[in-house]
Amino acid sequence: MRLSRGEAALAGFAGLVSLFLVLPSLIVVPMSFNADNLLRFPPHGFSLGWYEAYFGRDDWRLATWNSVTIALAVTVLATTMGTSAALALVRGRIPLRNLYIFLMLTPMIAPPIVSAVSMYGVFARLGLVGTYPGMVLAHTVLALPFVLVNVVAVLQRMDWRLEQAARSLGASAARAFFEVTLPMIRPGLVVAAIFAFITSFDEVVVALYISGSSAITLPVQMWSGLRFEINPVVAAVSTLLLGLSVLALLAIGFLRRAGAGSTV
Amino acid sequence: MAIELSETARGPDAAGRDPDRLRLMRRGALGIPALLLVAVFLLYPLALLVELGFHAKTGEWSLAQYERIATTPIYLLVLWKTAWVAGLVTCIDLLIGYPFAVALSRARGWWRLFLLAAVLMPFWTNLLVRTYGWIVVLHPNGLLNSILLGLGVVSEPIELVQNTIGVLIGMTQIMLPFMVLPIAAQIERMDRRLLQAARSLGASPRRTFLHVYLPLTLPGVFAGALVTLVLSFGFFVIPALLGGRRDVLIAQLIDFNLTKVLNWEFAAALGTILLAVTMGIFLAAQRWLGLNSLWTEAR
Amino acid sequence: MTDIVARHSGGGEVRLVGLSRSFGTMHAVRDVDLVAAPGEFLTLLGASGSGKTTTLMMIAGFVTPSKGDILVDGISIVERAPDKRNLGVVFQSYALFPHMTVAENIAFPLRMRHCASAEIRTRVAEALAMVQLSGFPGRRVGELSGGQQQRVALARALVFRPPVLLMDEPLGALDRKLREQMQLEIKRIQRELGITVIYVTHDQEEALILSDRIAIMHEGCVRQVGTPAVVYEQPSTPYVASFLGESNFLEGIVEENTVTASTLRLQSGERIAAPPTSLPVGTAVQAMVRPESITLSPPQGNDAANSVNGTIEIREYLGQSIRYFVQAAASSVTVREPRGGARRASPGERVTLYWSPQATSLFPK
Repeated sequence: MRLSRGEAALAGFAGLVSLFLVLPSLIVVPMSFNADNLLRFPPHGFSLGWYEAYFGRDDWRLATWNSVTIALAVTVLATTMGTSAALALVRGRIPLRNLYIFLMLTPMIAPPIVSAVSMYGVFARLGLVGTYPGMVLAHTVLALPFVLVNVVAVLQRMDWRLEQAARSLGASAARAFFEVTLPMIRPGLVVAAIFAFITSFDEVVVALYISGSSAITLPVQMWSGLRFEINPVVAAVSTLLLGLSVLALLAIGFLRRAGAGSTV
Repeated sequence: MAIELSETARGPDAAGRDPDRLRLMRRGALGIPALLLVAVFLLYPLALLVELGFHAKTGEWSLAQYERIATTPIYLLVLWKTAWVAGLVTCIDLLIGYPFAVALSRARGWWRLFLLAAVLMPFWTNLLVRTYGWIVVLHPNGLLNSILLGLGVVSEPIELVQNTIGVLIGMTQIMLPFMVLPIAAQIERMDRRLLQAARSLGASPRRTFLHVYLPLTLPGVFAGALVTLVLSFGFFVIPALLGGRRDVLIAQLIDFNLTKVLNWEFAAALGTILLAVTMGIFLAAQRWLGLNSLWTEAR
Repeated sequence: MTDIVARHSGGGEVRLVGLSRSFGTMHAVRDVDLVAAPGEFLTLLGASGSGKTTTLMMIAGFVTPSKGDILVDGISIVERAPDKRNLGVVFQSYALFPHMTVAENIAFPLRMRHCASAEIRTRVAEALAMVQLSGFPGRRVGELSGGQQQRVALARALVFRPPVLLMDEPLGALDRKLREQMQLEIKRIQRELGITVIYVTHDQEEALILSDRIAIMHEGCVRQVGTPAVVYEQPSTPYVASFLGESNFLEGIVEENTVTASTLRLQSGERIAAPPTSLPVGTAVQAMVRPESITLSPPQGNDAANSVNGTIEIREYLGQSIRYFVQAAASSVTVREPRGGARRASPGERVTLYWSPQATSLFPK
């Protein structure tokens, strides 16, 4: 393929930018095998010690467990409520519709630090700081806009006559939704659920405030490991998380392709 | 004027009543739980926060906090620095992101997948992982300095962390996808035939780019710049971890005042300013871009 | 829902009473009164925006009327949700469920009615046989051609034996040959089942072929209802006349009126005869004649025929017929002659146009 000079320059530039985008994430991988605990590149020696530390220490294990359970609860809650709201927006009538949309998007627009600080005030008063329910509620609020935007998009792409056909054939509104609409938007729903999970799992600023000392999540634990001095276990955790991100990306790519086939 | 209405057409009839109103409102009620949750656990707290900023430490209603901000040079400096950093990050990301988006739109096959993965992966990688990665790259003992020292370009490590440069570099990378994706989406939507038409009418490739391609991509550019600017303003993690003690931006100032000094009212006032700026930019852009920009699956 | 079952052997009666729907100041459907007799094939024919689809969708229950009532076999269904009306609907885009097989699609309405699975199996097989797709139960919707999807949609709408079938321009997406085939199929099935069909289309040829009666709609109103022959040969308004087939309109004034015939004086001066009319002498009228009623050769036999002189402007060869555009009676008159006609004329030739007074329709201006 013969490229003009301009095209080649552009491609080269894009390659450099790609490196810029990807390198800082990838570089944690070799760091995780560092034998000593000095921050140094290239790392010296090879050791799985930091992985052992991660799996071995209680605080890291607990933080991981908290993150996973909270994220799962958030996923369920945010996906159901968000899908509900999306249906209301696309197929129903909401008074002051634009205001509703604006309010529902606030968690996405408001800077995390402001959300965190304001939530802290109210959550503290309600005794929700440092509790699972508190974290789940806080993260669900943050995840809702992402679910909403995704599900609205997929609902708008769907051919509504299919649901009407189901109604004409005797299905009640609820049955038509579960038998026809839901299977058709399922790929989009899964994408929204993954968004919700990752939003909660990766979230750090609000978690810093709401997790207190009894609901510490993985990002909070990592934050402590970076704030004052670099805890090398962070490298091991980072590598594992990187692997998870790659998996999630692949899953979404796969689902998007599957979704494109059925909602045409 | 008479277009055949689809069977899903709705609306009030000649008498102003809508026959479908009840049915639609019942479906609209599905949106209540989500709204309640957001209202109770975020909107109400935000309202309280804004309200708190208008109290003096002693409890009475006053503008003391804002006066303090307006009259203390340090705080004004923080605000200025935040705006300056956010603006600079946005500009750099625009300069880097636009050509990248163009390259992405031209890419095919494996190369395209690679570029897409490169721009999407930061989205899906934990922010702390990426920040740690930057620490490793920019640290005096880290990657960049090792290379520079090894090549003999410098004799001492350059200070790239614990200062503004580190913050800028880190934020530029974190924000880049937010700039690239809206632009790339806009390029995707462009009708190629307009470019062909321009060429057929005698425009050189350069002029076609300047007078047709570039203007057509502007909505995407605005969307990307908007998101980048808004996010950069309120950013906390990168400045906190990569910045030095002198590089406090508004997010850290808020955090400091709340957790270290326990000055709730002052933190609230600062938070309100940040919120107002963010909302202001967002609402202004909505007027120009419309809510449709949010329904694109940029994320 | 089970109360809306066909009283007669196959079809139910559908009655629309004062049915209206407006959107703001735009009246999509205005005071429509129609009756479809049991087993009748009634077509709503009209252009885009005439209100025909909105009317059908009101019967189906997807659009709520502003005013009026809809009765099936005497029972008002206008307040019922679409799933409680027991009417078969075939949509323009077929609306087959892509995540289900053909058999599952057809079984769907039976499942909604809680039929036993053995019965479902039998009836699905019957339905497939009726549309001649017996070999296809396991296929996915995406694997079917347009014509096959059409037939599955039909089978699905009929498998639960509704008293009425509603069809919204179902053949629009098919090519000509397939469309003609499907028209025959639909007609055959309708005759076999004796089901009442309300059919929406903008294709007048299709309406003429399929219908027992046609209701022509324009701007939300029903302009005329009648059998194809009546609507074609005795249109009640100029709009109906020009919508179906081709038409020529000549301006004139009623000069004379007797029991056997009326005489018009055309604007261009000639006099022509028309059937007796109730319009008083001196009324300004439009006389409508169909192109195929006009010939270039003098008529055999004794009946006096109308005649005007003119010049051929354009001649078109259409295969089955020849079409002439003739400058006569101060306007452009379209004439259709069969290919094997007695006389061929060429552009520029002076000719005389002949037609029977009976073939003239009069409309006041």
